[in-house]
Amino acid sequence: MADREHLYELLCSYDEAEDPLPAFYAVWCQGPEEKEVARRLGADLGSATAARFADCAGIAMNVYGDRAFLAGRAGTWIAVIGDRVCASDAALRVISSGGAKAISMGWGTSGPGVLTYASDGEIITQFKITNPRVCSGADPGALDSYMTGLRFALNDDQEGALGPVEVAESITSSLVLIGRVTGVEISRRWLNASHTLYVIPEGDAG
Amino acid sequence: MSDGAGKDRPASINRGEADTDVVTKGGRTELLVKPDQAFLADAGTMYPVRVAAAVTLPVNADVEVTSDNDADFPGDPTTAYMMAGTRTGGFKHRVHLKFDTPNLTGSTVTDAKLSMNTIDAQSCGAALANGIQVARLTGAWDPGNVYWANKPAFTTEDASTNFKGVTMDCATWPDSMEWNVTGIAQDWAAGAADHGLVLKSPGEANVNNYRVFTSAENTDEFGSPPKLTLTTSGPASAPTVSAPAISPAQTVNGATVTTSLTPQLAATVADTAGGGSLTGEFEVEHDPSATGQGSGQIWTGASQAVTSGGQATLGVPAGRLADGWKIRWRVRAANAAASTTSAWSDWQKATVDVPNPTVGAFQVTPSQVVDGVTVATSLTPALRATVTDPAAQPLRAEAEIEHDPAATGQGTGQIWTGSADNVPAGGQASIAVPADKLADGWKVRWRARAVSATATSAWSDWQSFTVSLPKLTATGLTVTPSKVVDGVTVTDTLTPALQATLTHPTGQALRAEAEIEHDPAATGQGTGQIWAGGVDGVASGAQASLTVPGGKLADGWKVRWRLRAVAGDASSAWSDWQQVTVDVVQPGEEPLAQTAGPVIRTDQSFTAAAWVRWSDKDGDYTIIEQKGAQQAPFKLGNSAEHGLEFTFTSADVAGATVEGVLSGVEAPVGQWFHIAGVYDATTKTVTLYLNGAVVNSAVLSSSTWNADAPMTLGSRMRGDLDDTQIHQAVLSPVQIRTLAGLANGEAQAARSAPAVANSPMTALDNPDPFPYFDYDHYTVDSCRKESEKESDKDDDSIWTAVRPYGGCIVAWHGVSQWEPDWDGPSGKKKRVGTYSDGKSIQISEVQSDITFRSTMVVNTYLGNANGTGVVPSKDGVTGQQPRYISMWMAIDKIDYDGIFTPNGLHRMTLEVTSTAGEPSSTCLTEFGQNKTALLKEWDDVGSLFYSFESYPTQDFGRGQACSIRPWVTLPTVFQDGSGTATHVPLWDRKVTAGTGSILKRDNALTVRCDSKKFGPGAPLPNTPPEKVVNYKGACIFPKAARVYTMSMSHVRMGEVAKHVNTAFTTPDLTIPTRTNPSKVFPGNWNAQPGSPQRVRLERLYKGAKAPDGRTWYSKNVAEKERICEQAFPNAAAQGKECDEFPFAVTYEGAGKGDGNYSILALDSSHNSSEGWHRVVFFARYRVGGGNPFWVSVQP
Repeated sequence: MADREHLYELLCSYDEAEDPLPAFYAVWCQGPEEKEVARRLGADLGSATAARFADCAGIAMNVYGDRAFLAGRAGTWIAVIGDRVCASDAALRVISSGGAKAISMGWGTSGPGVLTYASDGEIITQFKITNPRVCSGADPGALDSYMTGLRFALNDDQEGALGPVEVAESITSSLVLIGRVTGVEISRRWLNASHTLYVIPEGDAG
Repeated sequence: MSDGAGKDRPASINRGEADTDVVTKGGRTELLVKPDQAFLADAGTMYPVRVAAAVTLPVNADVEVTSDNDADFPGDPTTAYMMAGTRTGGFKHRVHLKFDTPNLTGSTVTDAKLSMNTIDAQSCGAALANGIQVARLTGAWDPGNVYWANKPAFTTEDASTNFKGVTMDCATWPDSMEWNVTGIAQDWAAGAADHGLVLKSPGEANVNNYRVFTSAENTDEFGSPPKLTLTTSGPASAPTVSAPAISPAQTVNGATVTTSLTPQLAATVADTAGGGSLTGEFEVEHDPSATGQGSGQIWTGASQAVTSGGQATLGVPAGRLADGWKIRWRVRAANAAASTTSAWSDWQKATVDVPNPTVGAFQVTPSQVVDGVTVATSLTPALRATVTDPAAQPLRAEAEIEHDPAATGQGTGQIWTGSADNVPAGGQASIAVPADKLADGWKVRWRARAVSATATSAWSDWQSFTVSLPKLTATGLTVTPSKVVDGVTVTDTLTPALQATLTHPTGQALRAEAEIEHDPAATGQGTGQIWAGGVDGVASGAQASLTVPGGKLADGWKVRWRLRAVAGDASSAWSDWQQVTVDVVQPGEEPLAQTAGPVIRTDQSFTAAAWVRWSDKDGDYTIIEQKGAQQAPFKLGNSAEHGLEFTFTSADVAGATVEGVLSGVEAPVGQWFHIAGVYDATTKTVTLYLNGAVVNSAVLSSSTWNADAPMTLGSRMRGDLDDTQIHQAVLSPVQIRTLAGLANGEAQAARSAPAVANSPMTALDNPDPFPYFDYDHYTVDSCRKESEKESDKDDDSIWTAVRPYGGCIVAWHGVSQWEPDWDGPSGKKKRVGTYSDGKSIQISEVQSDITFRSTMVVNTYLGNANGTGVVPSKDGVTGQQPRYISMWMAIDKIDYDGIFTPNGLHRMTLEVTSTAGEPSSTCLTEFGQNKTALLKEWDDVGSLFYSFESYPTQDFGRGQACSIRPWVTLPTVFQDGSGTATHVPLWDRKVTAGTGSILKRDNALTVRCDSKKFGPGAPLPNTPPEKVVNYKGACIFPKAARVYTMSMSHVRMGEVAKHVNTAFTTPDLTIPTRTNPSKVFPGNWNAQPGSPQRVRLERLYKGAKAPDGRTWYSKNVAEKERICEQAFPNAAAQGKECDEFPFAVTYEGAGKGDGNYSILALDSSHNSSEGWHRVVFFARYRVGGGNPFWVSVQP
C-alpha cells in the first residue's frame, strides 16, 4: 500500500468482506452541535445508540428500509458517515444553513464521487475527486489552497516518478484535503471510537 | 472523739471517749454512739466535736516461719505460740500477721496500734537486745504454705521496734507488747496493698533476741490473740445523690410527663471519700395521690457501678408501667465497698403518657396537582398515608371518604370507609377505593387514622381531591384522500381512510372508533348511519386510520363522520361531525400528471410512448394528450369501438376530422404493455406500436396542427402509467423495441427463464420489494419433472439441470453383456457394457439385460453473516453449515431379463464416494451409507439422503472443490465373462481433454466451497435476519451460470437496466458513438449461445493491474469519467451520475480499450441502488475475482 492510498486502505480495513467497503459517504459540519446536525439530516433523535464504524460499515449501501448515519465530534467539527443522500447537495445546503460549514466526499459502486464544500446553505465549490480541475459552485477555487501536494486526477502523472494516480489515491487525497480544512484527518482512533448511530426512519437511500 | 481545736494544729486536739452500742429498734439495726458527757460539757472543748472511728481488728491469719522451715516443712499456722527474733546459732524467726482491715482508701488514719500478748524472751527487761521490729509486708503469702525460702518481702518504711522483753520472772506476766503502726496503716490508706505485718529482729543478727507470743489459736490458755486497733478521723464514705432525671420526658403544665413505658431513670452519685465505685438505687411506686391505678411500690433496681461524680442510669423494664399512670420515684447512692448509702432523694413525680400512633404524608394515587388542587385520575384511586407507632408495632390504617360539603349536585355524607391491616410502623398504607364508589367529576375529601393494639391516632385533617378521569383526545381529523374544493372537503374514493391523532394522558394504547352517516341535509341518498368501525392498538400520539370498506359509500353522496378515542371504560367525546362529499374521479376527469407548458410541437414529427396497465380493454382512454381549446391534435389511447388507437384531428374546432390508426387490437388487460405512437411529419405517416411491434400505420390526409397547451398524462384513463417518453423525433423500430424492453427484436416473454433469477421485483408487483434470497433447490420429484421437459441444454452431459445452489441428474442406465457384432468380420457377439442417458431411454440399438433409472439431487447452501449457519432452506434439512452438501439418491424403474434373475432376488448395491478436488481440502461423507437391496425392492426404497462436508486443510484463498460420485454394483449374474463385477456409474463419466486426473475431468457433480465474506459492509443493528445480505461461506455449482438479472421496470434500478438493455439491443445508440464496426457488448445471457455477446463478463481481482501498470479498475473509471465529462457535462446538476457498461469491476470495462462500452448519465439513486443489488448478487452467488457472470435484462 502506498502512503498516498493510506486513508482509503484504512477505511477498507473495517470491512472484512472480499470486496471491502463498496461505498462510503461522509460529511463534516462545523457550527451546529451533533444533535442539530442529526435533526437536519432527518434523524429520529430518539434512535441514538452508541456504535463504532466497524459496527455499521454497510451504512452507505442501504437501499431498503431505514437509513442511518454515524455521527461524532472530530475536533471542532461533527463528522458524519452516512449514505449518498447524507452527502448530497441538498443535505449540505441544509446542514450548512445558518452560517455553518459543511464538506463532504464519498464513493459508491459507480465509482468515486464528488467533494462538496458548502457554507451558509450555499454550495461554494464542488468537484469530482478524480478531477478537481472541473469544479462548480459560488467560489470554485475556494479549496485550491488546500490541495498542495495532493494528486486527484486519474490521468495525471502517468509518466511521473510517482506513477499513475489510482482511485484509491484520489479518495485518500480528498480525505487529506478535508482533514486540512477541518484540522482533523480521519484516523483509526476516530473510527475505533464509539460515536452515535442515528436512524432515519422509513428512509430510502435509493 | 475530738474537738475542733485540732484544725491545722493536730497537737492541740482535745480528745474524749465515746462508747458505742448496736441496738435493734423497729426492725432496724442502729449504731448507738454514747459520747462522754463530761468531755462534751467541758468548757475547754472546742466545737464542733467529731466522733472518730476506732476499730480493733482481730487477726485473720498468723504464722511463724523459722529459718528451718522449707517447702516440705512449712510454718504451722495452727500453733498456739509464735516466736519472733533470733537465737544464737543462726536461728531466725518471723511472725506473719494478717488482719481484716477495712478499705482504708480515702480514710484519714490517725492512729494504729499492734498489740501482742508475750510470754517469754531471752530475759526480762524494758530494753532488751535489738528488740522486735514490726514491718509492713509487701508480698502476698499463703498462711498454709509459707517457709523461709518463699517468705514474703517486707519494707522497713514506717517500721517500729519494741525492745521490751517478758518472762515469767517479770513482775507482770504474761504481758503485752505494742507497736505504733500508724505510718503503716496510713500507707494502706494511701493505696499500698495490705499484705499484713511481720515481727522480726531488726537486722536478724546472730544473737539471742527473741520474744514468744500467743497466737490466735491460743484460745484456751491465754485467749489474747494479736490485735490491730485502727483509728480514723472523718467519714470514710458518705455517698450523695443529686440531679435525678427521667427520660424521655417533657414538662407539661409544670408536670413531668414521660412518653415511654420503659423510661430511663438517672441521677448523679458521688462520695466524699472519693475513689471506689457507686451505684444508684432506684425505687418506683404509685403516686399516692393517684387513683384507679394501684398503690405502693412498683419496682426497684440498682444501676451499674459508676465512679464518684458519675451518672447512674437504669431503665425501667417493660411490663412494669402502664400508659396513663402517675408515679413517683426516688434514688440514692450506695457505696458497696464501704457499705454506705446516701439518703434517698426526694420523690420525683411523673406521669406516663405514651404518644399515640400517627398518620401523615397523605397521597392519592394516581393523581396530579392542578392549580393547587389534587386531581385523582382514576375512579379507584389508592389512598395512601404513612403511619408511625412509638412501639414500632404493625398498625391498621383506616380511611374514610365523604362528599366535599362544599360540592353540590353529587350527594352528601360518607361515601366509603376502608382500611389496611398490618402496615409496618413507618410504612405507607395503601387503601384502594373500590369500584363504583366514586364518580367522575366528584369533589370529595378523605381522612385517615392509625390504630395500634393499644392506641388510636386522631383522625387526620380532611384531604380534598377531585375525581377527574384522564381525558382521551382525538384530534386532527382528516379523511384521506381528500381535498377542499370551495370550502367543501371532497374525497375521490369510495374507500377513504378516516384518520385522527389519538392521545392518552398516560400514554396507553387506544382504540379509535368512527362512524359515518348520511348528511341530514342531503336528499335523495338515504339517511342515518352508513358504517361504523374501529381499530385497536393505536399508540398514544399516533395517527389512527380506519379505511371505510368497499360497498358502503356511493359516488356523489354527502356524508358526515366523526371519531372518538376509547381506552378501557373511558372514551373521549365524539368529535364534531366532519362533512365529506364523495366524488369519485371518473376517467377523463383527472389526469395522472400534467406539465406546466407544452412539451412538443404536435405539428412536427414526434414519438410518444409509455408503459401502461389497464383493468379494462373497453375504456375510452387517452394516455398522452396536449389538448387545444376544443380538440386534442392527437390521441394515443384506446376506445371500446376501435381498441388501441393513434389518431389525429384536422383542426381545433368542433367536428374536426379524425383519422389515423384505429387498430382494432384489444388492449391487454391487467398486465403491463408498451404502447408507442410515431408521427413522421415528412411523410405524414402515423404508426402504432404494441410491445415494440408495429400494429398498423396510416398516412394522414389532412394537416396536423399544434396545440400550445400543457401536456397531460393519463387523461381519461383508469389504470397505471409508467415510463412515459416523448421525443420530438421519429424513433426507429429498433429504438421502439428498446423502449419496449426487448432484446434483439425478440419477444422477451417467449424466452425461457434464465438460469438464475436475481428476483427482479417492482413495487407494483410486490408490496415488499426487498430481494429475498431463494436457493431454487431441486427435489427428486422436481428433478424428474425437469427431465421430462424438452431441453436445449448447452452441453451434452447427462446433467438434467444445474443452478448455483442445486444440481440434479436423472439418468437411464442400460447394461448388456453381449450383442451381435454385425459389422465385425465374424458377426460374433461383442461386449457392450453400460450406457447412460440424461433424458430418455435410448437403447434401441441395444438389447439391455437390465435397465433402471437413477435420480441424484444435490443441494448446497449459503452461509449467514458470520458463517455460523446458513440462510434457511426449504429442502427439509436443518442444521446446515455453509460448507455442507446434501444429496438425495433414488433408483427406480428397474427392468431386467428374467433369464438372469427370474424373481429379482439378486442384490444390487448403491455406493457413494466423495472426493476433494484440491489437495489442500477434504470432502467427507458425514451422513449416509451404502445401500444393498434386492432388485425387486429398489422401487420401494425411495430416496436416500447423504450429507457431505468440505473443509480446507489449508486455505490458499480460493475455493475448494468436492466431487460426488454414486454408482451401483450389479448382481454377479450380470458380470462379464471374466467374472468381473459390473459397476454402473450414476454420474457423467465423459472425460474431457486434459492431463490432470480423470477424477477432475469427468463431469462429476462437483461443488466449490469457500469460507469468504461477501456483502455490502456490516448491516445496521436490528436488521431482520432475512434482510441481512452479508454472507460468509458457501458451496456453489461452478458449472451453473451466474446471471445477474436486471428489470427495467424496477422502481429503484430500472434506469440502469434500461441502459444495459440499450447496450445489448441497440449498441449503435450508445455513447461514445461507434458504428463501424458496431460495438459488441459481452455478458448478455439472453444472446445466442456462442455469439460474442454471450461471452461472459469476468470480475476483476482486487487490485488487478493492466499491462501498463495501472489497475484495471482505475483505467475503467478514468475512461468512464473522460467520456462522462464530454458527453454529460451537466449530469451532476441534473441529479445524475454516469453509469458504465460493462461494469467497472470487470475486465471488460471501459478501460479495456476495445471501445465496447457505453456511458450514460442517469438517475443517481438508480445508479446507487443498482450497485447495492449487484454487490448482493456477487455475495449470494460468490462472484469473486476471476469469476464469470452474465447479465439478463428483463422487462
